[in-house]
Amino acid sequence: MKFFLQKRTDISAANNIRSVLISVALALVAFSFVLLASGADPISAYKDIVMAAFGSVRGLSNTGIKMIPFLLCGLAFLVPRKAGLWNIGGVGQLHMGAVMSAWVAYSFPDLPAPLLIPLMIIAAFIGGGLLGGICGFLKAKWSANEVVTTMMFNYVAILLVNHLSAYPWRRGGGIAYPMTSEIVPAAWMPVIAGTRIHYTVVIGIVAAIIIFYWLRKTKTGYEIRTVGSNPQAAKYSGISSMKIILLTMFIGGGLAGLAGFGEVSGLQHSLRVNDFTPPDARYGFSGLIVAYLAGMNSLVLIISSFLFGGIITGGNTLQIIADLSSGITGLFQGLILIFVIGGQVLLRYKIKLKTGEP
Amino acid sequence: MREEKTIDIDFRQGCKPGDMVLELRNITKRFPGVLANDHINFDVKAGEVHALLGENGAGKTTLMNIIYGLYQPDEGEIYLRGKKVVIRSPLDAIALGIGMVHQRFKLVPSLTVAENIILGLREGGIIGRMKRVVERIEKLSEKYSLQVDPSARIWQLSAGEKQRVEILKMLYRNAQILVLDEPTSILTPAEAEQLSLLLRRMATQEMAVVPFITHKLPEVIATSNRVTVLRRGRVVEEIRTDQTNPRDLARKMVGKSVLFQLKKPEIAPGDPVLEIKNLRALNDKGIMALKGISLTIRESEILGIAGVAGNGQSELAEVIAGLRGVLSGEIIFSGEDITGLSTRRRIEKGIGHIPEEYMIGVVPDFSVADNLVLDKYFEKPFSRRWGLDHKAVERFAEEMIPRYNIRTPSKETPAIHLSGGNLQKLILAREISHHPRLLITNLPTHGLDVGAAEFIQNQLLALKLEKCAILLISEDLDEIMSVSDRIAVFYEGRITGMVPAAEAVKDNLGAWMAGVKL
Repeated sequence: MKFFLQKRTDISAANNIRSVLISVALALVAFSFVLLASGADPISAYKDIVMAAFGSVRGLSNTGIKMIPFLLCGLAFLVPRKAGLWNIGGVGQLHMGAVMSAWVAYSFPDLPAPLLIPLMIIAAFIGGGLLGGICGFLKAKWSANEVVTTMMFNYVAILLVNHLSAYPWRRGGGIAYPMTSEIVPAAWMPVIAGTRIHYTVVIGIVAAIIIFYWLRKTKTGYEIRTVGSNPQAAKYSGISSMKIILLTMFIGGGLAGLAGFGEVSGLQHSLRVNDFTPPDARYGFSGLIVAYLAGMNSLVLIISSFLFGGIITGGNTLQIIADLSSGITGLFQGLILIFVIGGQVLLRYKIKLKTGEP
Repeated sequence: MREEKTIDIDFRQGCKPGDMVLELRNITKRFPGVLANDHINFDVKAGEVHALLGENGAGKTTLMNIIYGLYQPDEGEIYLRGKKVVIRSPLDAIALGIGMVHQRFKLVPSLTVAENIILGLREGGIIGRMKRVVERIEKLSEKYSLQVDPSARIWQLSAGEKQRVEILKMLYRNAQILVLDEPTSILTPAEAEQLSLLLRRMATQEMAVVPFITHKLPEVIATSNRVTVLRRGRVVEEIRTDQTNPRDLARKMVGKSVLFQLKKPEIAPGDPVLEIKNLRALNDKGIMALKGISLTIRESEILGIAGVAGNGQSELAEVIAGLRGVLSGEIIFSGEDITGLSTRRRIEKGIGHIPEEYMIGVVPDFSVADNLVLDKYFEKPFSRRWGLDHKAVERFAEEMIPRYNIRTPSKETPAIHLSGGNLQKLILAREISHHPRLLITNLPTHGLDVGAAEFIQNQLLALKLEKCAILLISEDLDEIMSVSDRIAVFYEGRITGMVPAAEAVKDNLGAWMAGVKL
């Protein structure tokens, strides 16, 4: 008796949503065992997570703050994915965007906010976009595997932030933790009144909506999907895959760069060593998870990144309430990813029992 | 049924040249809708090379898979030195001394020759034993003059050397019957000649050899002692090689069959649409695929290109469509040199292309409607400033689906759910609706049932009324002869013959396809 996978022919949007929901539910069940093993009661723990993330203005504010980089990094993964590429470099592109917007803020401290902030946004987009674009170029020109190149550039960009924080841009005044000096208030992204959620959230949501229509309704979107689905057919119909690879990697990288802008301009107002890679929220990598959770749909991504922001916020609170180790939210993220990707396989194939001769 | 395998492994003991080694009696294998092997009798004797000859689809591969245990015959028996055997799997085949060298090598590029040879066997592994393995390989390669360095890594080897490793792999497993699937298809002519010598030499050392060869008649003549010709699943003739010649074999292989009854519009060809002058181009492996091709196609003319797959026809189609670069030569389209133009520009100028495999011409995840505009989404009315006009795309699909009889549940159905014939009709609909001045069609009816094939052939003929020039590449001689106005035959990147279809003789075409000079 053997099992084998048979391709399904009935993949619909409804099945897709069902698959994601079941996957998340199973991940919750699996995580319950982790909680039990750590001595926490799963039911009350999940209640704590929900309350902490969505039960108060403060909780919602924290969830919203986390949502922004998830959303933008999710888009950074999603756009190249539609062209058949794996952008694992969201982390690095986010760091590059952070560096570029900080650099603009330090270089032009006298500009008024309506000029300075757009300038920072553009710089962040270009910074992240170029980092992604380089990987796209290497892919298009010499077929260098973009998984490897984007991943390697993560380290370059992270270490660049660490270097800038510790040496050239280091804040004076004998602070023990290496960080850069604060950017001028004119460079601060305004926040929604009563919360700490900065208006980068609007940029993210608008970007998600634009990308939704861009991919579905435009000529370029058609070309991107053609390259992603059948590169041979793209070549056959005269679509330049070089152009598409460069474009999607640049835009993907740029969107992750915007996430970096949001962190610097809207939240931290400086760069710090290991600032954007805390173990509970490796935004760049988590972009991949939220994109999968959204079934690669950029509108659904708005919801999945909000929920994921909640998971992180709630998870952080849970650590404190239930006295759990700090790795626990990362573990939860990993479980969700495994179940969702497993669910995607089962969405495309069904398991059949092999009985006798085929 | 294990006891059936209690045959002396080294059946060469006391085996004289000419003794019957392997015998297939009345082998029949049916697949849904196809009788792949129809009561085939085939035998292999010690000390000889017995070639199996036939066109694509003649049943060679099926028979070979039966010998190697990949398929079970529906009827018939296999005898090994007179004893009945059942070969259930390749492992059984190897245990019985039957070795198979596949057309595509099954080697691990990063491992050494010796490591590849013992891969899957329970020996070696520990460093000390590797020495013994190497010694045995060296002994074998000396015995059969198979020069390979056991410590070389596979990626460093040429195609011919890799093939020698595959042969050694089988010898190492004590194979005494060697089955080779189209062994020369990936070799250079010099390597093929070497292989030919090698096989003959191995046969004289009481090894029985069965190369399966498609169309390469000169090689059959050079290598084998006996030939069995297959056509449509049946043995046409079994003959001693020294009693036949390439022309005779070609005729037997192609056979005589009824031509399709198609309506050819009576139109005289007009002005030249496509002129190709002395075109040279490489294939994907960097080997010269087109060695100076010159041809002309006129308005309302169908030029058929006949030839065995892999003789440069596909490269010609790609070069004209702009998918492959040229080394030298000119492509003139309606009086304009288009050699350097992009694929997109050529589409805009009116060159349509039905590719070799329908999966190249469609995007599997896209709907039928989206696929129908793959060559025109960037043009009016489908394209606006930035966006696509989905209404126009849908209207177009609603018009095309009934006109070209594309059987699909709806215009929104992803193309991947359509059958091959319907995908081919989809591509045809798309390319023809563009009113091309030149249509390149590469195997347009390959693998289709008779009805779908005839529909497509009639559509091509109807295009002549629109003054379209058509390049028809096909391996099916019946199709070429009934549809084309003129026929050019390709062999190894050259045109070996060109005749008006009305004067074409099948035997001559077959001989040209085999590279025989008439």
